Amino acid sequence: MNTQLVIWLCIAAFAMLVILVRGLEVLRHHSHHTRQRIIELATESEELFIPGDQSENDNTYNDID
Amino acid sequence: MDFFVHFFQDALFAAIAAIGFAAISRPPRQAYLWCALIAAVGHSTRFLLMQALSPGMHIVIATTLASFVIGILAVLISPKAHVPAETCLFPSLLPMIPGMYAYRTFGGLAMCLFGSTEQSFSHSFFLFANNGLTCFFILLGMAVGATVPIFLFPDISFRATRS
Amino acid sequence: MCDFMARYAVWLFGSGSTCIRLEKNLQRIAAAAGVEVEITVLPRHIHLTVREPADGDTVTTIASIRPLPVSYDLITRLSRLSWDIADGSLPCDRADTELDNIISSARSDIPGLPLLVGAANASFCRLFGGDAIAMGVVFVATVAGFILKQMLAERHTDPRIIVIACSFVSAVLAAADGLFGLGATPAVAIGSSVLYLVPGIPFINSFSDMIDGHYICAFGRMMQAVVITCCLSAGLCFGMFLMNIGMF
Repeated sequence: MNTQLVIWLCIAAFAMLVILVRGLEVLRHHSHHTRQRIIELATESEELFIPGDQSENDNTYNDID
Repeated sequence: MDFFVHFFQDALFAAIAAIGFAAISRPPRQAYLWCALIAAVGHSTRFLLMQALSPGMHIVIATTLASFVIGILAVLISPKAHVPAETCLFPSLLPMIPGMYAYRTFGGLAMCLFGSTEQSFSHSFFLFANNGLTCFFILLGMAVGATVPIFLFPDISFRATRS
Repeated sequence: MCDFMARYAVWLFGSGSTCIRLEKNLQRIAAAAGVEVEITVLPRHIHLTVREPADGDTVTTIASIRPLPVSYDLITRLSRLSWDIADGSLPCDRADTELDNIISSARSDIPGLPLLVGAANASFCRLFGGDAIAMGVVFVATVAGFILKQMLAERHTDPRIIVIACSFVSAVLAAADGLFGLGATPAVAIGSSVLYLVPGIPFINSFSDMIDGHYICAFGRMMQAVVITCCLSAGLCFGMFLMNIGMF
């Protein structure tokens, strides 16, 4: 193997590595925006809803005038 | 027939080159196709002037005239595309940039340092000077040819983005 | 108003506008605001003097020019902004907010840009007389070099180092044409593999400014373009030296 071929192979390998890393960076950037979680934890009230349940965000005070 | 094939090939590849290099400068979306069209017309004008005439015109003069054509087209198209004249103009000039002359200039200059004999130094210096002068005057001709229409039609050039 | 015009000038000039467009746009904005403006453009700073003709008050500000990527989209939108102010459709007190909106919504590179640039450089190779194999080799070399350029630019590497590295990588990859005896025009392949790095816009802008009489700005831009071209030559020459290919 002559020197030029060795140098060329090293640079070609480096270029392929650069393209691979860049591709992974771009994919990771895209997946950050549209992430779908497979397993999630939620509160009991979010998993099971029974009519009449009051949400945590409801600031309803039973003011009886 | 052969000449026409070469002519259309020249226009086609100049258009592709213009789109690609224009994209680096982030033009507005509506400018892409105009840049391609103007670059194709300009580059094939230079091709005609250098190849079709006999004797062929010098590259500096041909580039200046082709840039003038590009400048006129860019100024006329800019109000329709609602972009400044330079947006269509400068990316369209990119296929005619003397890139090879530019880096051969500095390559020749570097080789002057490594030349050990007068002959090799003279050859390197000739390459440096020849490529350097050609590059300088091509760029000067390009800038003059392209900006003259902007100054000839200032009303159109500087009002194109007015809504 | 002076601060607004200084910010406007920095962004317009940094995006690759010529001096004459910068002057015309600022004078248009100043006329709409009822003031007078004079600018001095230096390679790294813009000096702005705004004068109120009514009472003679003068404010001078110096703004640093930040290195920005060339963006004709930004130049178009900033020019449109100056006309909106001049025509009265945008009040001067809202101009600052509108400028912020334009800057924050500045477009980044399009997704397939490396492939587009690769196709453009391959077309260049054809224009210089390269055969189909040379075009393919140049396409691959350009795509690899351009992706490296984007990665290094995102990491805020010095532009001169970027150009040396990318021209070296592209030149070595393009040497495959001669190394493996693939096509008939290996010299054209290597010669055109680095053309995507040539600073065409700074060169044209510098000559355009020179024609308009802004000699200091023209010289500054010319030096910037010359330095980048030197770095390109250095990377190319080093690559050709390692590949044992003569330049001329």
